[in-house]
Amino acid sequence: MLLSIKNVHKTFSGHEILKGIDFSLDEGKVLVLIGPSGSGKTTTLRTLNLLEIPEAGTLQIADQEVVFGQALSKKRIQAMRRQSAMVFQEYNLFPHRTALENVTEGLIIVQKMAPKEAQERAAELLNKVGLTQHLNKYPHQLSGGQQQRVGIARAVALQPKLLLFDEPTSALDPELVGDVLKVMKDLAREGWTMVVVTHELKFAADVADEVLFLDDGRILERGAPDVLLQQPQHERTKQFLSRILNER
Amino acid sequence: MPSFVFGAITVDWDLAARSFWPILQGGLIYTLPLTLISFVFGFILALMMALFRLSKWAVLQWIARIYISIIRGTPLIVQLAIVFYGLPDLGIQLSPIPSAIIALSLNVGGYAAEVIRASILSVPRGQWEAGYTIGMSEAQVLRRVILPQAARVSVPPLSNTFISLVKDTSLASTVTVTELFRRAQEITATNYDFLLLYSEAALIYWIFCFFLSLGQSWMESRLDRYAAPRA
Ligand SMILES: Nc1ncnc2c1ncn2[C@@H]1O[C@H](COP(=O)(O)OP(=O)(O)OP(=O)(O)O)[C@@H](O)[C@H]1O
Ligand SMILES: [Mg+2]
Repeated sequence: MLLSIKNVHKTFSGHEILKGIDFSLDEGKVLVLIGPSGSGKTTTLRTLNLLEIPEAGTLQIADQEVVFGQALSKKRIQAMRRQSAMVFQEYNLFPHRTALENVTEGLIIVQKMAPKEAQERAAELLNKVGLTQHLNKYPHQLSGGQQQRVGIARAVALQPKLLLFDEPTSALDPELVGDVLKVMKDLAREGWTMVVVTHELKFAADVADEVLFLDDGRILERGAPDVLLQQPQHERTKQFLSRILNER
Repeated sequence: MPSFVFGAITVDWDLAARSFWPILQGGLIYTLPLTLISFVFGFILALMMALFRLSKWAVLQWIARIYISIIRGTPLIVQLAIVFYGLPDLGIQLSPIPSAIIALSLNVGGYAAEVIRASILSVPRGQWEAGYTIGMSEAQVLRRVILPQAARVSVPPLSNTFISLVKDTSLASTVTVTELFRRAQEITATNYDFLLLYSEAALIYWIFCFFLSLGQSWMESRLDRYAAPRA
């Protein structure tokens, strides 16, 4: 098992937001999280990257494990964090660095790779996501879809065990969504292990090995995409899916 | 002596010409270096205090809070007097220029700390998280991601601090530093031509500040090449 998260509880200012989250994922598999706004999808994903620290539960990725509720040293947090990398809804590129520099930053500063080698790796990755023409542009000179592909290259460059995506296309104009989803599909096909929060049901149906439906801080329903998306068991899941389909 | 009568005012052009260089010289050898040196020390102190204010440790936060509060709550002229006239009572005897540098640096440190703190806080939280997610430590994120962006935000307010400092150095005259204003003052002691000499001093301060604000614009446009104009 590459990833396993057990009985995770997270409270924000007195409100329990995650009420016992459990799931696991094998290497090379893609998990999609869906659920209504405020159900805790982002919080769950951020927990995997330790951008949130829950009060209770355990998280294991590859050979690293942390038990929440105990004191965690910065070193332990950093070691766990390096197992995964996040692609953010709002891209969060470094605005003062070019596309290429956004990707080399982690390689040079964190992984201590020689700059020349890092630049080659970064250029290769940016080429793969279709940005060969834009290596030396600053984020504000790129479209949202291009920025998000830089964001993906930045995460992939570090070769983490696990890639995390938080609604990577929901800030994009509709005509730019396809390019980003295509890059993500390619990554899935190459065998990357991914956890993806998305409302793109078509993507989930095509790419996911498993889909989880989160509702009010709990996993209400889980299953293979053709089952969960076609024949949901719970009324809440049915309502949610039909609402999304009607929005399109 | 050629004189020109302007209503009740007589402009002594000859004195104006003779006094211009000594006053300007006071500006060049004291006012500007004093400004520059105090700003550099003050800036380093301010950065440290801003980080103290943002630190998780209550002790550091309080040290910074108290320091900033004292500096902002007391007049610079009093701060100068304490360093130059007061410290000798504790056996610490400082010459005028070091006294002025210490007091001015402490003063800049207090004001710029809040500017720097605000500019660090103005960088979106997502930038910290982007740094963390690529595996950076807190110090690495601060140095590589946050401070470069905070720098852009803080150029205009820090330029204001710098330009204020040029003018504030005139208070070093009270601790016997013969900077620009004191030069003018000394010449008035023999001439009593207050209006002329102090106007000359004002003109030279204004010229200094004018060129510095050009420098500010240049720096802002340079930094703007790297980022979209802020909303
Ligand atoms: N830092 C925080 N402080 C306080 N409350 C928070 C914080 N982060 C999240 N929450 C709350 O936790 C709940 C779950 O948030 P989360 O962002 O995980 O939901 P989500 O499923 O990702 O929703 P969306 O689809 O809108 O992105 C929300 O009610 C939110 O207001
Ligand atoms: Mg969310």
